[in-house]
Amino acid sequence: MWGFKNISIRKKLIIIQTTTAFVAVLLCCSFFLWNEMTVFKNSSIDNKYSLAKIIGVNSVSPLLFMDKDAANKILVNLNENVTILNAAILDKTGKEFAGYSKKGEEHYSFSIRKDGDIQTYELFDNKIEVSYRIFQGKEFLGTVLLRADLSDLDTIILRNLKIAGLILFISLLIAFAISVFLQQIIANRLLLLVSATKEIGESGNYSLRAPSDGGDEIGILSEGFNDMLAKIENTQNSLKEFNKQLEEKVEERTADLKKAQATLELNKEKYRKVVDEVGELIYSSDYKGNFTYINPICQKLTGYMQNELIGKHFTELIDPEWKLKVAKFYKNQFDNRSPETTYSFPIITKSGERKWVEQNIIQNTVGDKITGYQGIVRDITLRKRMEDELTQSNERFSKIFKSNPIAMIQTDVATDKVVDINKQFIELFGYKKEEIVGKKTLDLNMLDMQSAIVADSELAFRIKTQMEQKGYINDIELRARKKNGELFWALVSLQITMINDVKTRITSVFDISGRKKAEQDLKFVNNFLDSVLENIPNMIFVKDAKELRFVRFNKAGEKLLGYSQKDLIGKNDYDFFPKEQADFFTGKDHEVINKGEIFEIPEEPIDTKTGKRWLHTRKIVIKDEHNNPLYLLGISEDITESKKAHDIILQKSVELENTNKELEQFVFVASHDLQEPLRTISNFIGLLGKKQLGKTDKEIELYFQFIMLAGQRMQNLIRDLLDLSRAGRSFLFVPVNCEELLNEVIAEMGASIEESKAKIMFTNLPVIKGDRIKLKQLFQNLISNAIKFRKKDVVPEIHITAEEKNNEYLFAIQDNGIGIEEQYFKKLFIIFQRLHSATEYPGTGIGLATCKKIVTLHNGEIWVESKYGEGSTFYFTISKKLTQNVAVEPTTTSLVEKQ
Amino acid sequence: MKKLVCIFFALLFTGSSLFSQSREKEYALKAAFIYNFTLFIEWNSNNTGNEFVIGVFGSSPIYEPLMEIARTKTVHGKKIIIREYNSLDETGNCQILFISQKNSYSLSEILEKVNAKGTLIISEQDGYAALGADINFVIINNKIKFEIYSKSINKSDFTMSSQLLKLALIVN
Repeated sequence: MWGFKNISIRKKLIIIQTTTAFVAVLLCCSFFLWNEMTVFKNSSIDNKYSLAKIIGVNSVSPLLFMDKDAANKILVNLNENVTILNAAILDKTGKEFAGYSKKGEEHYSFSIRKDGDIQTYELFDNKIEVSYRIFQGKEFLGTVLLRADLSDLDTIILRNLKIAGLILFISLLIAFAISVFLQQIIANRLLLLVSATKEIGESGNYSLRAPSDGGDEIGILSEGFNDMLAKIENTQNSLKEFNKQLEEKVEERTADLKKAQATLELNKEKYRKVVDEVGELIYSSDYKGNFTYINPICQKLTGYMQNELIGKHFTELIDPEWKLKVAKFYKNQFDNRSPETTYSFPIITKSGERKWVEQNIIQNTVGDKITGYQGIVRDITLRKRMEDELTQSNERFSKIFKSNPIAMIQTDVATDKVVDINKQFIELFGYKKEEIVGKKTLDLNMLDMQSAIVADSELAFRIKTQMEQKGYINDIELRARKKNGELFWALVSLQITMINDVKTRITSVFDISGRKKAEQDLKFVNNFLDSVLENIPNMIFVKDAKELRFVRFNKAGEKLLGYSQKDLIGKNDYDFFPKEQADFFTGKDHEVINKGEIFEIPEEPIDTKTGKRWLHTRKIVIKDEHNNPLYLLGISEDITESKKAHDIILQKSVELENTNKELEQFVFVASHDLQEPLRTISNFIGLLGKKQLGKTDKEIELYFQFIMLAGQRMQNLIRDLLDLSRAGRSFLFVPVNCEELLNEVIAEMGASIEESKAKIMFTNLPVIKGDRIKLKQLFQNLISNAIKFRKKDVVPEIHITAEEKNNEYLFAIQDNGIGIEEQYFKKLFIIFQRLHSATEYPGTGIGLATCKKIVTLHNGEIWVESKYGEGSTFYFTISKKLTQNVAVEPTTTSLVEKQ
Repeated sequence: MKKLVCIFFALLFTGSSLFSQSREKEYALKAAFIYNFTLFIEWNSNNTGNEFVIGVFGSSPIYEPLMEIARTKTVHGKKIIIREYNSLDETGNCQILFISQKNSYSLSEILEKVNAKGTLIISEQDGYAALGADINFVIINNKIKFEIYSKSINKSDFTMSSQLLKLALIVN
């Protein structure tokens, strides 16, 4: 570059012009070369892509119908295009469906690129791949892929390069020729200008001028050069003039400075006057303390004139009581060489008045030596009085603080340190005073601010803002922590106030853990009651006593009515039930409220969303403290199902009763009516037997005997059946003397008793209420059984006893017969149940069933206790309370049992 | 003995399942072909309804794959309906009628009944293309190919695309 700078302009111009021409032609050639190549390449690629597209469109049907032959045929047509090296049609899975390779080319396996939508891929060796995706409608069918050779591009590039080189060479030659010719015009004139510059530089003569000709840039340069020479000449002249003026100015300034010094001396005097006139007493003294200067304020403060005090010692003004103290203070200052002190003490004025002053003293020193003092004294009487008053009020506060029944603590706001605590605080928190005073409250961690913040997240913010704005906050509920770590609920108030000039926070803490506990207990009880209320299976509702609108509804109620609490609350009966029902409900409600009693509605229908239901409702008035009705509480049980069941049972039992009656009637009629024909048969058989007796042979006689016996048995059977059916029929309860009754029975059973030689014993039998005939039959049956089932060769003994109980009489008939095995105890009382064969112990199997029926009629029970082989005891009870009505029922049920 | 019987049944079972598998494949292809035909054939008759009916005459395993296609695709924007016919009288207005091998009518009977309705008749019986079925499936070298009856190409009822014709075996 430096080398280029130093060569002559002539050569420069030639080089510039030639280079410019060369670069321009080079750029042009390059651009056209690049452009042609790109166009060629693009058109070649476009060509291939179109080819792929045509193949693709033609491959739709072969792909759809999987005709590989047809597809291959399409590809074979590519042999007309020499640039196509390979081609393939891939199906939608990417498998080769058809393939083609140019003669002499090897088979090429295409792979589908991931960026499947880009149609062209350039390969390194002047080859390209073109792909076309085949679609039928939106359905992807496969891909056509072509691989083509672009090598004919190289020949085109070479040819173009040659042409470009030739053009470049020719244009270089022309450019050189033109520049050689042009440089002569410019360079000669420039040389003239250069020689003029050289001359001025060497001689320093600015009045010389360069030759100026022509209107081009060189002409303008020569003119500008001449103008510049003229201006330099002018400037030189004016510089000389300015130097002269400067010298004159310096002389003037020196005179001004002298004047100013004189004014300064004057101002010093003025300052002294100002000191004399300020509101504070200012003085100077020598090192002993004698006044050397004092300002006029001394008269106002002390009553003495300036000249009265100059030369006196300042201690003469001090209150005699304080003199020693003050002297001691200042001796101290003197000894310690303290440069400045402030001290307050009282003085006595000329008129004898006592005034409090504050004195500020500054030592004047020269080297190590004290030469005097500067004093400033100000009247602080008023301030002192105020301070005294404040001290008094502080003492008053202190008394209140100490004796306060509420725990209190004082803390310094600035340091957060505890200043004082009162007795109550010591008792409440368990700290000793010395343990806590001087410590930071934050470290002591006595208030659980977290507890308040948890309960009310805005509280912390509220406390902060109120404390900042008003300086106090009252009654926040917090958890406080005792020394032993125990937490308790406290009502805390904070107040910020000035005590002894210190910004102090007074915190009072009031133990409310008792109240808090009570609140929590109440909450628990409420929760408990709520749980009971919500989960009890009965509907519970509460209405307000005035408008009878629903105030509360439990889950069971929601479920029963099919409405949700939201639907119900605030509404009344008319919003949910038909008018008649609502009238009924509200009517009852008013009745309950007016009477103020518990009211029971055993059955009431209600139309709910799910249909008609029956309720058993209890309504209760809830009153306020003035005994005015406040709410109406209702508790309803859904008795729909049990009512249905009850109705069914009622209906069934009526049906059953009817059936039983009919049955009984049938048994009665049947046995009654059977008796007559049977009797006739027996009679005439007997008659026939008598007439034939002795005339026929023994065999026939035996037959007659069998028939007679059978007839007899049947008669017995029918009679017993009649007894049984009668047992439940018409009866009449009258007082019955049991002893009389038994005597009658024994009399009537005379034959069998005599035959068995049985002993029947009874004493003190009561007079009871019952059906006389039926009771007689009962005893008859039981006694005849006792005789019938006697042991052979043993004389039967029968003991009959009676015992009076609260509600009934208990009878026992004890025998010494064969006894009964325990397994038959129950079976015994069932009709037609026999334990023995008829031949061994004749009988119908109806007797004990009849007994049971009679006992049941008398509201009693019958049972047996026995030991096999040792005898039996039959017990039965007869109720004392018998009414005609009640007695009807058991007859029917007893029959049911026997079925 | 027991073992032998077991093997025998196993063979029977696998054999039949293999057989049915290849059959399934065949009919899935045939069904796909039938659908593909609709891409290359245009019906000129005025089918104003918005349904494209493909009838299957006689029971055929092609029914299931056709139903599968009908569920997901349309023809010329029309919903595909597959109907199975067992008697000639049922063959209503359908655009394509596939004649199963398993029907009990002769082609001439079917053509007589159906031909006039603008219905494309597709069969799967060797020789049917020469007898008048528009398209007939044949199996050549284990591949399904189709024949087109030369007269069908010039029918006025529908126009077949050259794309289709170039793949078909044209039968006179």
